[in-house]
Amino acid sequence: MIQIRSTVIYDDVATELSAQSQAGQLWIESGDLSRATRFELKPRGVCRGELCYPLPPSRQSEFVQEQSGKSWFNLTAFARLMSQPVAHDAAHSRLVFRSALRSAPAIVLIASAGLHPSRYRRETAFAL
Amino acid sequence: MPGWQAIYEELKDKNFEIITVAEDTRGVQDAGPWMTAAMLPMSAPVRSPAPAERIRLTHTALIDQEHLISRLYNMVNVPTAVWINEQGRIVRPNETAYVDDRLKHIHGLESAPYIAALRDWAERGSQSAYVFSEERLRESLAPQNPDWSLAAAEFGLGEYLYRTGRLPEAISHFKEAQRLNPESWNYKRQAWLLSDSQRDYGTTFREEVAKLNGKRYYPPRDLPGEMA
Repeated sequence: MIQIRSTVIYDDVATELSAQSQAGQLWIESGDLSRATRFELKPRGVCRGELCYPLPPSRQSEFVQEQSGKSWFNLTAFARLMSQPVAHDAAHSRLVFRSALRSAPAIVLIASAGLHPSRYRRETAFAL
Repeated sequence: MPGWQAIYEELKDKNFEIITVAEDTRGVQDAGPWMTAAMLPMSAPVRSPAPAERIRLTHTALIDQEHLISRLYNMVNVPTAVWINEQGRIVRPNETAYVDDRLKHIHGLESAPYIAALRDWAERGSQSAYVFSEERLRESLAPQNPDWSLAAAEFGLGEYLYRTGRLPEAISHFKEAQRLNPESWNYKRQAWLLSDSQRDYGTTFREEVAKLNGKRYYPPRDLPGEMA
């Protein structure tokens, strides 16, 4: 594993963090997962609020590993699990994770005939 | 902008709302003057909106620097509009949307059919003949394309690199986005705007349009009087 400083752009938010790179995979400290992605590692899976992605039981080590007394999370493998597109520079120092639109819930209300603009601002939500 | 503002003024009391969104990587720098044109003096520099453009906007006008709307609605060119009803459902998918004829001599599209459709929808709501049924909508929506999804990520990385002062690094990612999604004129237009397109991409917007060689710049629309 190669230690690197990486910038992860997740849902259009950039977070700098320490990471490890190995064979094209980006591993971040599990403790940084929430800060970088708003996902949390829980017993039932990788979760954001009530939405959870279970990790395949037989492939846990593909996603989570202990090394040097720290827990590391494979962000690249998780993206692959969610069919999430990832772009990165050659050194893996900057990565952009885009939403997997196919799996994103269609909950967006962008505009609606009849809504007063102030109401629109309260109700607007973007599915990512 | 003047055209959309005029439509808004005409239809706003008919349970109708317009949200215009400027998809500009340079955000306020490029889009801002068009939105605050009413406050500009007439002696403002050439790049500022011309006097005819300087109207006061009273509809909701946003700037989407991250191109989120383009990603969500698979918009690949401008101007593009999508219709969404009171229940938050798409009732007419994204399509080329001109509401005036100032550039008709370039693209050939009449604004009248689209304006008529808007008026009919504002008047008749779900009963409008211009509203798509769910089945028709489903048929019209393109299936998710993995290459296009990756193109969005590459474009996003290019934008991040550009905004953090790394334009030379950004160019390779902008090029990759264009390669993965050659249908997107938005990717081309934005990238070429941010640098010297001839030097960095070996082409210009005008040259690329000329390469169409008779092929449509905009996809055909399902509106009366327009050929498919």
